[in-house]
Amino acid sequence: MKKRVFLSFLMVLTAIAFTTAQDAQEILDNHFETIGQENLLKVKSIQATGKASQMGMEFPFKMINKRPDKLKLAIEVQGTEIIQVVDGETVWAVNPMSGSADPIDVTGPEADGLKENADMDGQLWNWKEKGHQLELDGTEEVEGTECHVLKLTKKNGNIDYYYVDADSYLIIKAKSKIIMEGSEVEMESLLGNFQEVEGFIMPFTTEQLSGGQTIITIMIDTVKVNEEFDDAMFSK
Amino acid sequence: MRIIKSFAIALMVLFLSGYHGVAQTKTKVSSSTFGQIQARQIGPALMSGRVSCVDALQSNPLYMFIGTASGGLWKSTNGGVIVKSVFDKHTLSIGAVTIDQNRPDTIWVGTGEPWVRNSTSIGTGVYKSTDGGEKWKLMGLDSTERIARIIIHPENPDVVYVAALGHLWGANEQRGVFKTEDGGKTWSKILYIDENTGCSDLDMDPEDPDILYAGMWTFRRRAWDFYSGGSGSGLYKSTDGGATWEELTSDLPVGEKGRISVRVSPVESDYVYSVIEWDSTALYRSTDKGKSWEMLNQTPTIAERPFYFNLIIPDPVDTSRVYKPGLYVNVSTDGGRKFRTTNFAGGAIHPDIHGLWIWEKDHRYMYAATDGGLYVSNDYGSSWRHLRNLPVSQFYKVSVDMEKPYNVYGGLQDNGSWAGPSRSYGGIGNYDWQGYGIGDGFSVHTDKEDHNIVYWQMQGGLFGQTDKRYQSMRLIAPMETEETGKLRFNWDAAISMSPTSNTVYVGAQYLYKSNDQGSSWTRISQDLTTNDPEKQQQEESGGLTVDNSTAENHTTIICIAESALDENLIWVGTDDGNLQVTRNGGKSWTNTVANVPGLPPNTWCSSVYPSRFEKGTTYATFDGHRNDDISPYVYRTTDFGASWESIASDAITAHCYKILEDLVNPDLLFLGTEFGLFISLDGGEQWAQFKNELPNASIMDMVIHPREHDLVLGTHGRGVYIIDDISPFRQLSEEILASEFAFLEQRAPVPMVVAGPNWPGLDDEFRGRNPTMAIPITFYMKKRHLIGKMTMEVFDMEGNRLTELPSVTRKGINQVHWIPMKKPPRPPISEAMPFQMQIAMMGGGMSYPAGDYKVKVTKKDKEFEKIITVYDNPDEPYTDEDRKVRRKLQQRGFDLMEDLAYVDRKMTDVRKGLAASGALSGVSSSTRKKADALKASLKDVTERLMVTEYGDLRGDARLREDVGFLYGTVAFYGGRPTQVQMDRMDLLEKRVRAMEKEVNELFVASLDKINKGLVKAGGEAIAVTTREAFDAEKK
Repeated sequence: MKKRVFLSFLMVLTAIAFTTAQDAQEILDNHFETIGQENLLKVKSIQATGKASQMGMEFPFKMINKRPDKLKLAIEVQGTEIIQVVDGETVWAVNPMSGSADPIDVTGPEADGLKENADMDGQLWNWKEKGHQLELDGTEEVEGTECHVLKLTKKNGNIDYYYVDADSYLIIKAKSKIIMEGSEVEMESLLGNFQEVEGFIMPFTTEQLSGGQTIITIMIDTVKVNEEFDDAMFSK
Repeated sequence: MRIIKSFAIALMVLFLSGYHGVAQTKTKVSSSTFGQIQARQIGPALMSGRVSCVDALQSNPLYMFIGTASGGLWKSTNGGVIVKSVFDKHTLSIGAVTIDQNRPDTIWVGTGEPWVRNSTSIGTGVYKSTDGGEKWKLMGLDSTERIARIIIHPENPDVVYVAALGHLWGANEQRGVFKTEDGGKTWSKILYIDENTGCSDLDMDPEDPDILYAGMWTFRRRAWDFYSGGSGSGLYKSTDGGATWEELTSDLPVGEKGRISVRVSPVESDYVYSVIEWDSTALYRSTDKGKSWEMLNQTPTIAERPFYFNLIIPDPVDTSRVYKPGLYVNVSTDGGRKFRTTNFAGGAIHPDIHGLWIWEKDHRYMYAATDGGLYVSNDYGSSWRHLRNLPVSQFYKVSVDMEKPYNVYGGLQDNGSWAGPSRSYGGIGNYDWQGYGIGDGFSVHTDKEDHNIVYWQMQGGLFGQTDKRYQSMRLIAPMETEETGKLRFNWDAAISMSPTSNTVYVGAQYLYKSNDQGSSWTRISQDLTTNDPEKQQQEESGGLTVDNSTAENHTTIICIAESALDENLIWVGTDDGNLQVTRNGGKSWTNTVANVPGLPPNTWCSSVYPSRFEKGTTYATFDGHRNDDISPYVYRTTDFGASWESIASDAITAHCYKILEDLVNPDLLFLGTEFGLFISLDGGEQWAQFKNELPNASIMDMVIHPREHDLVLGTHGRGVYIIDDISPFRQLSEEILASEFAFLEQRAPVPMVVAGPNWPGLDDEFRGRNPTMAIPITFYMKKRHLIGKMTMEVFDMEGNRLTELPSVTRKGINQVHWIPMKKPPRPPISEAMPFQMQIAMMGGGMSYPAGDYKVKVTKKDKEFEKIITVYDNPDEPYTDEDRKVRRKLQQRGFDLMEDLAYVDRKMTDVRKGLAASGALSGVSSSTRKKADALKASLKDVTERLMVTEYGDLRGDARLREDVGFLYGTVAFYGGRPTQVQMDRMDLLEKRVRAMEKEVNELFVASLDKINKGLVKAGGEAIAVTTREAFDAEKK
């Protein structure tokens, strides 16, 4: 259970990062225009609070994302705080429920995922510079909404699929396939409740699914932009 | 004047379009209308189903693809421990799957099973994936119907050869051997004989990819017979990549031949094996690349059922080993002269083998595709491990009983008759299913009055009965008399239970009725079929190899339905296209098929369903696929069959097996087709496919459970699916469909007792999902809500907000689930979380009591409200008083935990205050001493309050853990808590009160004095959170 909350949460955050992320580039340009990416680029920090809901249980969380590539994520599970941090380079975490309150280094796919989350602009933004490959993978209907499918093959070989609503150019679904120890892990998120914050649009609700079943839903209550955060808070 | 005229015309157009065009202004119903209503699969996977082919990576045999006859394509990356269906958006009948051994992410799939039994499905062409099976692209050859093999050129992946069998039930030209040289963009037909002959096997020389061998086969099935053989059959060879072909005849049988397999030894390319069906079907081997041949074996092992088994697999390591899949996995160790089964030493495998894959690095390791799923061996096939996670069971029919939870019954191709629960403890597992009867399975029913009696049948009308308690079996089928002459029963003969009484009907060419559970039968009709003697020659069916298994029995009754409104109104459909009705209990019959417009003659009447609302109304489907016609034929009469109207639409893409009218809303219709389930909300004007979690499976039968209102689907290839509670569909009126937002009523999930075996950690076993026990809050939205806030909150009837529910809203029906559980109590905070606390926090919480609650949806500036109800489990033997006592005890536990949390908070406040930097600087030594003493006392209390050390399994329990464990475990049982639990709560309450008192006294004794000291030294007094403030935090 503990592990699942932890992993699912990571997945959802990936999804949130997605959104802050014809031909593929054209669709992408439209998407960035729609969500106001240019305004997002000016943002120095984002702080979001809300709750994660799983099987009727709620876990409050707080996320702080600061440029460049700094992320602190704290989720409270029954009075215990689990923290995941990217300090720009390294990734560390505190998970007392795993048996120790000392910070531990995070490596491997989990670290890669968190690092991606720390990139406020998302993996689609400047995908070439990031070493990814982008292609248009046809169209697909997502719950009755016609979507362009953007396939992003990332530098590390993992693949993300983004489903861009053909009308609104918002990304309403994201799917990623991660190879962990040779096995494929597939994660899917549905994004909704899009709201504007300081000139850019982000989804306030993210539903994480596995095998078609909802595993966890993240609901953002508040978002604050450009609060001051000391870099020291991201250090171990 | 002109203007006026135009205006008039415009008005008229408007009027006309308004008049005719109700359909035009109607909201279009599409798959997305059904929104979030999902189907759940309950298996079974115990016996699995027919697997037609398998391929794996020689460099990593754990990476594999399993192609099934009608259950789709499955991928595993761990040798079958976990499998995943990867082809559900396409056709579920797989004929061939080939992995590019040099580029494992590239996989080619040929759809349409090549094992052409009577019940085989159809394919829709050749598909390719370049991303390991994630996405598939149709590469053409879409009218080949069935593909026997695909071979990828080992050096050039753009060159691919396809062995296309072509149509089974008719002539067509897209068959033979095809080749692409551009990765599937274009194809050329490189070997073609005629419109009745396809390629049944193809192989490539492992050393010279330009050398190809092809077995060509002339075959045809009709509803009443099968013929294997013809002048087109022959063995061919090409040495130039298929540009030219030569028929190989030297040393081979002359005259009419049937199905031919051909394979080259992977280790010795001069060795070519071929099984040729003819008068004396035999295995031939060439040791000179096909120039000359030697007949090696002519026994029944080689000759058995060539249309179903003609396959020969040379070992990839040892030329003396050759495998002949057939009824069993047979092997020769002397190059093909003598054969024995591989599992002669006692291993077991399901009969009927259609594919065999052998690892070339260790040829003991192999996969076998059978009528009962996929098997793995690591000892040359001596013993086998079954994949118990492949739910590809092939149901012909399905029914339900009225137990709680209800059971689903049905029969399977080659796999008997079964019953399994609609829900089970921890999910529906393989061993929740119980088998009955013998032979292939078809219709299975329980007796209305005696639930221990199960009716089942095996092929050809052998109806039987089993008493569940003793597994006793008795055959109850009517038999021929002097008066009747020989009875003709279909392969899947008709049996039907009266919707109102305990009458049972069965159909041969006559209709029989029994009122005594099949002990005696009354014939209530004359021959209702065309009785065409031309179609009754099954003894000769099979062609070169006679094969009369009852699979071709024809001119028989195949569906029977008594009207729920009138027991004397009975409908009967026959396989040769009659649709008969009696309105006087069988005294006289009228064949109404001549009144059915647009229906080709002699089209199989696949289902008939009398309306439950209007006596004269009946629905019928016809299935022409055995005439090579996959058009949907769906009809309705409102005048007892005097006239029929078509209610099919272009949205329906294949032939139809079953139509159902809803039990509540006559406009709601369900249609089972070869390619999935279709639903109409308006009496057949518009149809849309229901897709949610339900693949394009062959829906051969379905039933609505009369108590639960679940739609239960029997698929031929993917087991049983259940759509829980279809009542939201019933409410999708024209008005609702056009609305921006509308709540829909849905039955609350009635809690039900389910007991059964449950053990976690079985990755390799299928487990079907149970229905959710959460309360569904169901609503419809015409459009997806995309931008702006939309929330859903739940309140009690006093208006207290209990929770906000998460959802990403979508188009169509939305379902948000509320688990009516209170938030857990706030515990004293410690970084340690022993199991007692996990039970308290996650395992057993307090549920909200049964009763009404209010839901409020806020969509931008609009609000919508609805009352929902939480129920207690009516089957649990607890009184209201019991439940009240439990609730009260739970509440005491809850409160005690929060009381402790408050004690902890107070101590934390003080600890933090004393630890704050500079807090104690400048205080007097007596204050400092007092502070140190207080700190020590608080540490002592805290250590008695809760476990503070890490580690789940330390076994420690302090007051927090004791309260948590008791609170959590009271939740386990819904009835009256035990006296021990109640006494324990009293004791723990005493201990909590004592600890509260101790801490209060400590504070009184020293905190006031310390605070004075702090203030005196110029600092601030330590503020302790008040209980009011602490409680307020919760809100």
